[in-house]
Amino acid sequence: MEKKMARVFVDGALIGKVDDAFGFTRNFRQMRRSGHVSTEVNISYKDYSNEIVINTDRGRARRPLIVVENGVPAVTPEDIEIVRSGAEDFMALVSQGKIEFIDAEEEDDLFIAVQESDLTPEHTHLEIDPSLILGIGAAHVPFPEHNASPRVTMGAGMIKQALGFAQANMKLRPDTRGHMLHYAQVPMVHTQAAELIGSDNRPQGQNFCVAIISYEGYNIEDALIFNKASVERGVGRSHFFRTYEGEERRYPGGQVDRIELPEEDVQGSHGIGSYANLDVDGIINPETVVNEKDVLIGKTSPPRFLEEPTGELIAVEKRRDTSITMRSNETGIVDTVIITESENSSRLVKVRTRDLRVPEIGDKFASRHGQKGVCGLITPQENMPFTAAGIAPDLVINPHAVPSRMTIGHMLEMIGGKAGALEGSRVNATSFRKTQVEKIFDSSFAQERLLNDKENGKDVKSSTLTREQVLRHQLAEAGFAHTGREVMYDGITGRRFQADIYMGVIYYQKLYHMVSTKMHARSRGPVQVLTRQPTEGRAREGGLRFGEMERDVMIGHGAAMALKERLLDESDAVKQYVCARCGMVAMYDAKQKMTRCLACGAETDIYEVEMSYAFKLLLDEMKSMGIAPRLRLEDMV
Amino acid sequence: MDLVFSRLDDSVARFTIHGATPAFANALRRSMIGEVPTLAIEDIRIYDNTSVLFDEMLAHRLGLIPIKTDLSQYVPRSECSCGGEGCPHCTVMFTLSVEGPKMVTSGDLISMDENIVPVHNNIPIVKLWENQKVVLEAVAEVNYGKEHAKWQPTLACGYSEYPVITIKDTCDGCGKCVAECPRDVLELTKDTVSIRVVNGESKEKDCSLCRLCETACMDSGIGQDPAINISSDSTKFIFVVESDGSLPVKEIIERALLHIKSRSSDLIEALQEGL
Repeated sequence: MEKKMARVFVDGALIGKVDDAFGFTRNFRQMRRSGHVSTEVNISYKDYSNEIVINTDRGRARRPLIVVENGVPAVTPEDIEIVRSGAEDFMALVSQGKIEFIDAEEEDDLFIAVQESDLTPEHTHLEIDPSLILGIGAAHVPFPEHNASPRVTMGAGMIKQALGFAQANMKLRPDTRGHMLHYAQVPMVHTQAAELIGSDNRPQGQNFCVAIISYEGYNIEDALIFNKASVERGVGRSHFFRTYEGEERRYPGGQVDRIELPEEDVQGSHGIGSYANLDVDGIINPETVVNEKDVLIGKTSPPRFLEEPTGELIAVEKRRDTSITMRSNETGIVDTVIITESENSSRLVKVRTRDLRVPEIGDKFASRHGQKGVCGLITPQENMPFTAAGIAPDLVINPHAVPSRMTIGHMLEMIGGKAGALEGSRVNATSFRKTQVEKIFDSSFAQERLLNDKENGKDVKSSTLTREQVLRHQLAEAGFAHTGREVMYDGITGRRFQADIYMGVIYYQKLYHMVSTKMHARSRGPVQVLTRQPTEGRAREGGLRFGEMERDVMIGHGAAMALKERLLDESDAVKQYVCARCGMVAMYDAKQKMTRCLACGAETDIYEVEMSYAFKLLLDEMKSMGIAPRLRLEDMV
Repeated sequence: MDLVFSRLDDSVARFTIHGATPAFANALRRSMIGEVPTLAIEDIRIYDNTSVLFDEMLAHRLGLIPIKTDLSQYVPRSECSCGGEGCPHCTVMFTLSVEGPKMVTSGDLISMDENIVPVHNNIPIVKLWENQKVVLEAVAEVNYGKEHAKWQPTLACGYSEYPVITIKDTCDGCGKCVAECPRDVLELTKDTVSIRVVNGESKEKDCSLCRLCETACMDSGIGQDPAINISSDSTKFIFVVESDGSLPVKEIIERALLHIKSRSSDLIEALQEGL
């Protein structure tokens, strides 16, 4: 019966306890609405843990909701009229406690009606607009209510990976990594939420002319076919920036790194030619074209260990080369060189490189409907299908991408983009909206629809057209088939296609995943120091793992020799001398040109045995634990 | 074969070819896009660029500027007597030297040949602020559209098969097809549908072959056999060719046809030599 007191947390810190948690939260909210508590404070009661969470800190994404009491929204039509007339602004409603900004935590406690007609006495809040149920990502998807829900989620996810014009000060920023899309465009078909967020000022894609047709098999499995002329005119071009930095670090003992042109005799020198691009100060100049592993900043460091002074001569200190080089697999042009001071007040050099990325086979693109694809072919404009007006699409996608995924929003956006482009106006595709008949009242299309409604006894004034109907009407007005399909001709044979082709304008995004950052192969290359096995990963020029399952295949085929080659000869094979008498690893004394076992002292009966270096390592580790692993040698048959 | 122009000026041509095959029509289309050479900026030497655009972006933008081309004076660089070295017979030098604040446009390009200038003078290249400067030399060369889109002389370039509209006696004059047609090709006269005639000219050729009228007719309850039938004549082609201004459309068509001819004569030569 007796309920424990609820603990109260403010910004994560426990500050006390209260008896009546529900009453407390209710009162708190009442005080916020009456202006006794800041409107920027949010409160939530967590029943399951009996905790009250109050948040006042910055960085919480909050959204406005209309307060509802006894099933009646606090905002009245008069209030709306006052705000519309400009006599008061939106924030006045907030300070009057009629609209509240709610954060993610407080939202858990509420019962929010999406539409005013849904209101019951139990409801606590009402959405200002039904489209606000969507988050930032999903709010960018046009016509989301026409798509299958997983596709909207995927579309929302991919919007975050799109390259765009994200920073206006791109020229000045020394970010370690950065992308910038050339000729970013505002989407022809857009949503109100995207507009309010400000996406139009930082667009992240381009309006492509897209045809949906299977074409020579180069677009199967979601591959995309690009028009080479479009690419040459600038479609999907972007720049990639990377900043490298070198610092003159100080070491204990007064030694320092030096940014300079390294002398020839420094340890680990890259070779004289490698420093040809550097200026006299050891730093590369802007606008120099650089390739992978090229030196950007010449730098030398003091030796790792101080040498013992050798009697007669004072040893000349042998410095190490620690120059900063371009990453392997990356090329570019030196863009900016910044010489400044670091946090440790030592000299700091930052070199920013840029790399032009023209779309190539393997680059990833996506529409805003979770329809992603990888470029499979860039074909000349002459080969592309074309319409009677001579229009060849920028992009060709495969018809199989549509039916099973049910992205009707994608199809509608294509019609919308086409209609918008023909009319010269942007199309609003905010979710859950209809167009009032009155707006296009004079068109014969709307008249006809009105007549139907009149015949069916509907109130004509409240008749609405779906946006699909409006777009189809606009297409027809512009002289195009309202289906969005067009008669097209094969650019290679010149013959007319039997079927009409669906073609339209749709916003496509270039995604962050580009082949040039992923492409990788190895024949020979570096090995790990510890195991002497090939390194792993593209950045380290690594090998491709021949894993357990691949091993199974080899065994299944009985390909023993091929298996041994992969797993031993092409990996970490070593020849070790093994003492046949005691079974321990022996050694070869190169000075005396003889073998010797350091374990038992034997000098004969020592044989060379081929083994994996990882195995030799295992033997060493066992020895370090006090176990004596002994190899028993037999004659090879 | 027969050629009838319905429009021909410097920038746009509309014409109908009679008695051709799709293969020939396509050969002409492809030749116009890819085989008629024009001038476009290919090499640039940048002396100073403190604008907001990077050198490669600037170069790309310069390359796409259409340049008026006189093919009686210039030949493609690869076919020039200089052997592709670049000489006054296949290349034109431009200079650009602008200081901000100013919008740099194609009109700021100074040509070494007064007859070879950009088609438009108002194409924006880059906007300069105070203390920003662009100084460069650009070399335009004659080359083909198949090499890079900047050498294409055409903008829109395509054709359609000639539409044939037949209206059968079964037409009951319901007018559904007339309302459905996006090109206003049909009209309702005296209980039957006919092809609209404007200024004594039949609108038949305006038909986009979309066949919405056929569907509309079938929807009117006439059955599976529509009273209106759209087909096309695959020996007649309506061409649309639009020039970017580097060459007059007439010359584009001529040069494309000459290209087809010379390719054929090359083959004949090869054939005769082979025998």
